[in-house]
Amino acid sequence: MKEHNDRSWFDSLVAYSPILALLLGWVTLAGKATKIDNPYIWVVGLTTIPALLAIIYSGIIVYRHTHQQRPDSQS
Amino acid sequence: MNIARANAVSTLEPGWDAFDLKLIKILGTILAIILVVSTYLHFWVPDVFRVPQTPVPDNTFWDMLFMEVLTLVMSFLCGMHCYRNFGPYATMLFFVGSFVFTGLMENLMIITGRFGLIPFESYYFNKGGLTLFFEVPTSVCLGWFVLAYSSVYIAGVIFPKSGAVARAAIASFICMDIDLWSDPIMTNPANMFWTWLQGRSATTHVFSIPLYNFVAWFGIIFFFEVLWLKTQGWHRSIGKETATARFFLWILALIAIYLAMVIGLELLIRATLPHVNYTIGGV
Repeated sequence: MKEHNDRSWFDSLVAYSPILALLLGWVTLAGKATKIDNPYIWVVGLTTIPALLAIIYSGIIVYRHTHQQRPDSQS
Repeated sequence: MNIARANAVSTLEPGWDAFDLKLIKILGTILAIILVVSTYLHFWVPDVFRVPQTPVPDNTFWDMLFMEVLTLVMSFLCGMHCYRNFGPYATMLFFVGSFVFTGLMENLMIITGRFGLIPFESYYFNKGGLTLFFEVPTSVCLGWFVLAYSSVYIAGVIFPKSGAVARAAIASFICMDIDLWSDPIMTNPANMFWTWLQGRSATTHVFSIPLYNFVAWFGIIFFFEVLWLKTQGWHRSIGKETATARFFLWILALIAIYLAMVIGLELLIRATLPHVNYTIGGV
């Protein structure tokens, strides 16, 4: 299957991989946090909001950049 | 025009030349030998490194395999991303450099602390994968590569006009910020990925983790990324062989300098700050 600008799904996966890696890391941490009895671990988790916002914002920038490219700019 | 080239944030040098192929063979062989010997010593001759035998939850063969495969897949994808944006030479330097720099730093802290060669005990890993780089799981070293590359890329995307030092500082802040949560989670008895050996009354703790750990997280990413970002133009001016030698000499020098700084920082914290554990609700 081809996506926008004739990029394959693998190209898209690679293009977003640094963002996906950090998001996956954050989700993995959240999964490990569910094993901990102390609910305050989620309050401590709020300290990661700046990093989380940076990851999501960079994802939006990459998405916009990718979709602003005109298809006829490729050979 | 190729999509990869259109997305490039640095000068792309596509394709492998003879030096790149020679370098990947040499570095790959050295790393493979270290991984095989380290893994053998850790699991079959644990007395050599005095490996602690702590029973930990969720540490079956399949747990370890999952961890290893997951980090390998993410490393491959981030490696491909780096390759498409910076070319094979810069990717090799980033991968091996981050693996060796962070891996050796962690090993030096673990082993020197364990054998009483520095003034305090540090920590050790309970689990993390099937293979090891000396006393650090390979998955942790791969994780450092993924984290370091992803954070410096994200810093560049958000602040495209920032210089090497500013970009490395932003990336380091992202990593340290994530570690503020990851260390308390991973060291909790419910997970026990690694264990800190310093008593709560011995030094200042934040969220039950020694304070110097967070400063060290910032520094380890910062120093490596500044070096790598500065390296980008070296091979064009002095040739790849000299540039590679200089890069790895800088890695070794930074390890020595950084180790002294971390030990000095911890001793300074012990001498000047109250030995208190700053927690939120006991975390």
